This record gives sequence, structure tokens and C-alpha cells, in this order.
Amino acid sequence: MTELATAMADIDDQRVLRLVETYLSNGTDPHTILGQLKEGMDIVGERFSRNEYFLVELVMSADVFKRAMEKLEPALLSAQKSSYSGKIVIGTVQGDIHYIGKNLVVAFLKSNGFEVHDLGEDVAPEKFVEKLRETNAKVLALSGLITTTHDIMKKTIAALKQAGMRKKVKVMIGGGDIDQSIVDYTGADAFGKDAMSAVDLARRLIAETD
Amino acid sequence: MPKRLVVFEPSGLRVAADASFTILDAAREVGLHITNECGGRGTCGKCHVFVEPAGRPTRQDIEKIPVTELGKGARLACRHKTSRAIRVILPQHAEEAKILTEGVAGHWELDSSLNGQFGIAIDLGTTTIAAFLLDLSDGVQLARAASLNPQNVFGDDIMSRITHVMREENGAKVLQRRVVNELNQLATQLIQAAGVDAAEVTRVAVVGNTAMGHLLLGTDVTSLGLSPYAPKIYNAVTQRARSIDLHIGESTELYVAPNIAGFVGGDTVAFILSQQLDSTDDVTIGIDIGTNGEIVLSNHGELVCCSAAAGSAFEGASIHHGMRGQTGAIEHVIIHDANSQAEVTVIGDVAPQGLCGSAIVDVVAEMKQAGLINTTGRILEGSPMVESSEKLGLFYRVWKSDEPKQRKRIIFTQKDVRQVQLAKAAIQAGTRLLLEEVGLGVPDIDRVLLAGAFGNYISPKSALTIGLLPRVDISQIIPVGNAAGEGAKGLLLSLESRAKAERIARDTRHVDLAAHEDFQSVFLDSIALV
Repeated sequence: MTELATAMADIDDQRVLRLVETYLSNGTDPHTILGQLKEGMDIVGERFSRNEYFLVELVMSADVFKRAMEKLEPALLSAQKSSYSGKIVIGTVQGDIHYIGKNLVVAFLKSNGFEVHDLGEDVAPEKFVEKLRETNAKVLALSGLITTTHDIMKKTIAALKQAGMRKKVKVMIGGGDIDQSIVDYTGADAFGKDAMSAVDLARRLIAETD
Repeated sequence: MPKRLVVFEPSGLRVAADASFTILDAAREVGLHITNECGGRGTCGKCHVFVEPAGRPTRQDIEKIPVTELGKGARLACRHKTSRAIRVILPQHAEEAKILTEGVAGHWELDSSLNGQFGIAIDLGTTTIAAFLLDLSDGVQLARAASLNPQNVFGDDIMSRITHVMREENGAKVLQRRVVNELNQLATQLIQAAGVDAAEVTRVAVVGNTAMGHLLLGTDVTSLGLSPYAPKIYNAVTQRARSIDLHIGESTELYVAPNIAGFVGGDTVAFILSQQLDSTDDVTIGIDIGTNGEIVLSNHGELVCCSAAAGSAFEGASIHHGMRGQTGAIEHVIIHDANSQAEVTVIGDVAPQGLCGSAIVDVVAEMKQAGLINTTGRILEGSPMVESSEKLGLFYRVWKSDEPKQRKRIIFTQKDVRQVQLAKAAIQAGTRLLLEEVGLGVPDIDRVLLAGAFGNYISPKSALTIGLLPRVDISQIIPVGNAAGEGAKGLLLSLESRAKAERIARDTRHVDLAAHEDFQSVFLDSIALV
């Protein structure tokens, strides 16, 4: 494992940021750097699955990754090579302001090369529709922590249908207490149980739309 | 069965107890907890209290209590029946004297001209309902009854009840009818037990969380289900009980306490009222730990509050071998040595079936102190008590049956530790942000009051060890029992306390944790077991 991947896996923020800067200044391909960060994030995910890491480590790793990406993004844009996995529109549904879980999903999607349009929290159904139209994204990810938000997810998906976009867009949901029965209730396509499974799910859904 | 008046000191709580009751039973009636480890068999000697007048000492009294104490009237609470009117002084509660006498639980400014009238005070919880019948003329409690909230068929927590109302056309009506039916039954039970006439019951006072109050009155709860969780009703409601089909007396009046916010309701107002947090001359934190933990901070009478979503870990619901605090539950756990079996105490004289909230807090605290988990909450391997399986990952074996043929055991998994960490982090973050709100820190705290059943039974030491409570000296932690129920009695008996409740609801500043900009960082920082 490379030094950068190790530093990312160990959530050593100082070392991660220093290494990203060093590599950028000595001309390393930004996609190679991104690949190493991603490798580190994958290990974070594995450690979480094995119970070695908990929520705190997960959130910290997402934060370190975000700061590293801020340094890396300009170089990635100019390198113009596609490690691109697809576009996703994401947000916490109307009537809910929880963000910890949603922000983790955003970080893990980004580390896996997705172009993520995060609308934030308490997002009205029409905002999602508008953004999907504007970006042409094929996947919509809805987050909601409390049982009552399942009805709002349902409402959001109904709005999608009404806009005539339901067939073109796959919908994944996540949050507290979500299982297949909630997928059926809301009319979504699938659910993810954590940030890591959201990545696999997004890949699968995008493959299905192609 | 004849009833005898038992008065407890220093709290001043009084109860008309069956003559067949032990003092221990009578204490439970009024929600007072007397320490006992043997389940009332007279073998542990922990439950000694001072009785006036003291009856002849029993054999166990003589065995367990020093002669000098016996002379002063010390007796084992589990060995003496309340066969005559007595006064009982609880030495274990001596440090509570400060709040409970000054706090005047049970010393309300009674309304006059209510001779021959009775009232029912109700603490309407999401899970349980406690109801008390009192004589309005002198404030004496004549009967007590409790039951489960029958709305629980629509889910254990508030949110699933609200979801039901949102989804079903007649949902609100159905939920209202269920709880009203239950209250009618409880009222009938109380009236019979106290031997009064239903027509003499002129008042009913209800305290509950905001959603329970709304549901009882048949008010729309949809707004409580979604951010910003705004209540429809803030003020106290007074109307005829019959208007919601509560049939007691023809003109019985129903009073429902005012709310502070969507998740801080009339029960918290009653807690503040009964402990006089609105007029303290010190810094007091009051915590009622439930699925929604309510936290109140009084800075010399200036009140701020919040609700913290602790989830159901402390109720045992999301814990692998968790259960409610009833017979068969392990209630306390001590790990003397990381490499050998822990010492457990069980409610009732039966084999353990699971862990209730107080034991769940103990396990995490004791595992931490025994070096079985690190500060991040990870279970460490190395002890023979720590095992692992494909399905559960690492787990700690709390108890195993001695019977060679039985394979029954009780374990605590890595996931359980995580659940406790999340629950305690929510409470801890709430406490920290309230302190921050008024510009104070933990060293400024004078008292921590624990309300509710869970607060009454947890070991303060364990709660301090895992950081569930702010790091104060253990002597500053005071369990106050059913403080909301006490407040309900005050609201039943006294119009002056109703006026005070109205002021408390208006003046208490609510801090919305979910919307607080520092919540994520403080919450995450509170997960560690340091």
C-alpha cells in the first residue's frame, strides 16, 4: 500500500494533505493521487464493516477526503481524464434536517468518482426535480432519518413521476429504519444501509440505466 | 384490606398503603427507590430505614443492623408491614433533603373549599401511564394505578404513532380513543381502590410529552413529525373531561399541562415545577432519560432545555440481550476481574433473562474500567470472557448458566456497545450545548437531578464513567423519581402551580439540537468513552 493510501486509511489528516501537495507539485498524475485516496477510503470502509472504526472515524475520514479533494479538484479538471462513474443528485428530504449520514454518502460517492450534486437538507420535491432536469443525472439519492420522512420520500418520488421523469431516473433511499418494505412503500428502486453500500448501489443503478 | 398512611421523609411523600404491604412496597407505590440487593428477602440488609413508631425488631433486623441503630428505630424495609400509620425516614436519601424538602414535592399551595372533592393526576407517557387519586382538600394520595399505553400497538416510539396519524384517515381518532379508554379504566380502578364516588372526582390533570398531549386532545400531530417540529398547542388546555369521552363525573374538569416545544412537553414542565427549577439559587441540570431524553438547565432560575434523541438502547430495545426492568432482568453488573465471570444482580429470585437499562450502562462502564473496551468503544480481545462469532462479531459474556445441561448465556456485543455510545453521546451533547448556551461549564454545576425510572435505577458511578452524566462529584447526582408525576399532582391540587406552569412553559428557552450548528462536532466528540 502506498504512503498516501496508508495515511488516508489511518485518517492522518496532516500527512494526507502534505502528501497530496507534494505529489501535485512534483507532477504526479492527479488521477493516481485520487486512486490512492480512494484505496485509503476503501480500507476505512472495510475497517468500519469489521467494527474497528465507528461513526467518528467515518465522519473524520470523509472530512479529510473532502479537504484533500479541494486541493486535487483543480488539477483533476485540467487533466480532463475520465475516471467518471456518473452523476447523482442527493439530498435530505423536506421536513428533515439531519445530515451526518447523507454527508458520508456524498464523501464516499465522490471518492469513487461520482459527480455528486448535493442539495443539502430539508429539500422540497420540486428542487430535486429541477436539479435532475438541469444535470441530467440518472440517479437520485434521498436521505431521511425519521419514520415520518418515508412519506416525504414517497411524495418526492410522486413528484418525479408527475414531471414525467420517473422512468429515466433510478431512486435510491437511505437513513434510519430503512428496509425493502420502505422501498416498496415509497416507490423507490433500492435502499443502502450505509455509505459503503451506497457506492455499490449507485454503480448498479447507473449500469441499469445505460 | 384496610389502608394505613405512610409518610416518607425527607421527601414528604405520603401514601395510603395496604396494611399487607411492606415498607419497601409502600415506597415503590410512591416511586421512591430503596436500595436492596436481595429482592426483599431480608438477607442483604441494604434496605434499612428509620421507622416511627418502630415495631419490635425481627430476627433479620437484629442480624443485619447494629444495636445502636436498632435503638434509633432502624428496621429493614422489606421485613415490616405497614400495619399502622408510620413515618419512614430514608437514610439513603438524606442528601436529597435539599431538593425534596426545599423542592417541596408534595407541599403544594392547596386550593381552598375543595372539601369532599377528589382528583386524578396522570403522567401520560409514550410507554407507560401512571395515575394517582388524591384528596383535593388535603393533598393526600389515596390510590395509584399504572398501565402500558395501549397506543403501543402502533409502535413503541412517538414517531411511529405520528406516522400512523399521517397515513391513516382516522388515525388520530383511533389513537385518541385507545388512550381515552385506558384512562377511563384507570379512573374506574382508582375510584374503586380509594372508595370514593365518581361524582366526587372533580378534577383530572394530565402531563405528557407534547405528542401524547396532542393525541389525547385529538389535535393534529402532523407538524410534530417533520422539522421544525412545531406543536399546535403551547398553552395549557382546560375543558370538560366528557368532551374527549373521559367519563368520570358529569362535570369533571380536564387540565392538560402546557408545552415548551415539539419534543419538550408538559411532562418536562411538571418536572421543572416539582423540583422548583424555576426558582433555584444554584446551577442545576435535570435529565429525564427516555427514548427522547429531555434535559433542562437552570442557571439560578433561568431555564434552557433541549431534547436529545437517545434512541431505545437504555430501554433495552436495540440491545442484543436487552429487556425492560422487570423480573428476570439483570439490573446491575460488576466486573471484578477481566478474566472471570462478572457479578450480576437480578430482579426477583429467578435466573437472569436479559439486561435492563441500568445493567446496560453498568456493562459498558465496567468493561471500560476492566480494560475490555478501549476509549473508542472497541471490544478488545484477550480475555476468556470475550468471544466472537461470524454473525455477532466480538462479544463479552456477561453471564452463563451453571447448570451443565443449560447453555443459556447473556452476552453484550460490539454493536450493543455502539448503541450505548450513540445514546450517551446524544445526552452528553445536549448537556454540553445547554451549558454552552448559558456560558457555563461542567465545574459550574451544583446538582444533577435524574428523573424517571431509568434515572432512579442506574448506578450514578457507571453513568459518570461512560460520560452519560457530566463529570460532577457523585454526591451531586440526585435521583428524584417520577418528578413529572409529582408535578402532575401539583397541577391537580393547585391553581397557583398551574399559573406557575404557564410561566415556566413561556420562559424556558428551547435549544433545537438538530438545527444547532455545533451539534455534529459536539455529538461526534461525545461518542468516545473517555
